[in-house]
Amino acid sequence: MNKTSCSLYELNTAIKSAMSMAFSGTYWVTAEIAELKCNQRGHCYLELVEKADDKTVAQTKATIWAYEYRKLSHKFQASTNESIRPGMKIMFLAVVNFHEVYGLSLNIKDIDPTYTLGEMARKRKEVIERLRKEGLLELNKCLHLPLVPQRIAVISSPTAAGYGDFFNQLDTNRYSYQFVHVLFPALVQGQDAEGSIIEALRKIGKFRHLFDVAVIIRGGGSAVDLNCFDNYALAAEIAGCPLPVITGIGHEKDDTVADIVAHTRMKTPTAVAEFLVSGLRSFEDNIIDLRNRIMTYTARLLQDIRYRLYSLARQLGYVPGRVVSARLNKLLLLQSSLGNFTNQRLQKVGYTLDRIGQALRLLDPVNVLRRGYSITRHDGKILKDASLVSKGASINTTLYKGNIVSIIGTQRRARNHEQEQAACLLPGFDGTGADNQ
Amino acid sequence: MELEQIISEIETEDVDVDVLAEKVKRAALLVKLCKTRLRNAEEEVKKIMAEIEADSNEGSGPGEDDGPAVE
Repeated sequence: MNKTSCSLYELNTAIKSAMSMAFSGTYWVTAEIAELKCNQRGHCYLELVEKADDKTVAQTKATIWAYEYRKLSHKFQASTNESIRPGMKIMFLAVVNFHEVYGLSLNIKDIDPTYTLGEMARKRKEVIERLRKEGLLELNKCLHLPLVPQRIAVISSPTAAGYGDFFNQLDTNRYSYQFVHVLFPALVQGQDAEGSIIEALRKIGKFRHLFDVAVIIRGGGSAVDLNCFDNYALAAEIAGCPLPVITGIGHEKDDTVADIVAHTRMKTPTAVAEFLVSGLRSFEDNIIDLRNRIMTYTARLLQDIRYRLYSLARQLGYVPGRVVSARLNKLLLLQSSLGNFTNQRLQKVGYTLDRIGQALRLLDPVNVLRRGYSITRHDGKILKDASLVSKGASINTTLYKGNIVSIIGTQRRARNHEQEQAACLLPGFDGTGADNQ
Repeated sequence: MELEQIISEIETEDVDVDVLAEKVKRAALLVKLCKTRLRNAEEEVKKIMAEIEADSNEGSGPGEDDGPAVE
């Protein structure tokens, strides 16, 4: 067995020289950053991968030297508002290196931010599309923001820049409205932000009955690293929050996905505070307006009633007078006609009475006697029939003046003219001629 | 809102003066209540804190978590 062999070093040197021949020059490559570390001297070490269906199909180490990295990361941030970090897809200009000890690696000379921007936009679009399909895009917007959002659950980092502004704005508002706000601390920047905010949102969900609204705020200063607000998981959590979510993430660029799914989107924490204060203000304005309307209306109504009363009182002043005088006239009329009528009536009665008096006077026996008639009695009874006394009987005759007692000598019975005689004697006395009417 | 109801009642219906007085009295009370509520929230703060603290005491145990903090 006489085999020829070479040392590992010899082999690696051979590979290195073959590689540098085959892969001279530079290459634009696209890949995803799986890991990224910077050492103390500022050199950046990356692990680059390419995935297909979540499986890694290629993986290589890469380096960016410190002086290059400072320049590149600055440029990258300026155009994408993001720092270079794991999970990101980049397009870079690389030199292929092979080192005898460290093996294959790519040395990155340049990064094209527009590729990453495009990737981010594409990913964002995908996330939005997914949220739409799952009905999450409008879910939080469907919640009713209370009329007076006074109890506020705040998600923020206590060290974030906008945090103090927010509470200042709320607590020192010029209308002296009081808010109840409870901080649910979370990281709002960096790799752990997403999970941290989701956790805070879940906690708030547990206390939903204590709050009117949830607010996510993030310091205004830096516009970098908003990526977590574009992620699906956080957006879905915001959408599903049982309280209306207001965002004040502090950036001027296009809305993040979190802003899109939130109930209300404000640009900065200060703007969120202003929004809440103005909400209370418009409520109070409305109350005051209602009160004024009630007062005005009531005053008008009372005025109306007062006027009506006044005019009624005035009517009371003259209407009765009119009524009374009308009645009085009628009464006077009645009185005068009553007088006339009474007089006539009395006169008539008077005449009748006179006639009756006259008749009565005629009938008075004294007057009859005065005219020469006389009354004859026998045994105390008035004698009307001659046949009732016999010869020799005593009769008493009453004259106008004095009496005669006589003894009967002859008597003649009345015959046919006896009635006539009686009629001549006392006309009307037996009832036939005494009718006064 | 009750105030809105009151105003629509007195503006659209023929309200008796006695009823009107009652309604205006009620409206004034409501307005005062709202204004007070906008500016005094101490009771609400106490209630909320008590409930959150009670929950974190039995739920997560002491020291496990910073918990929420009232500002």
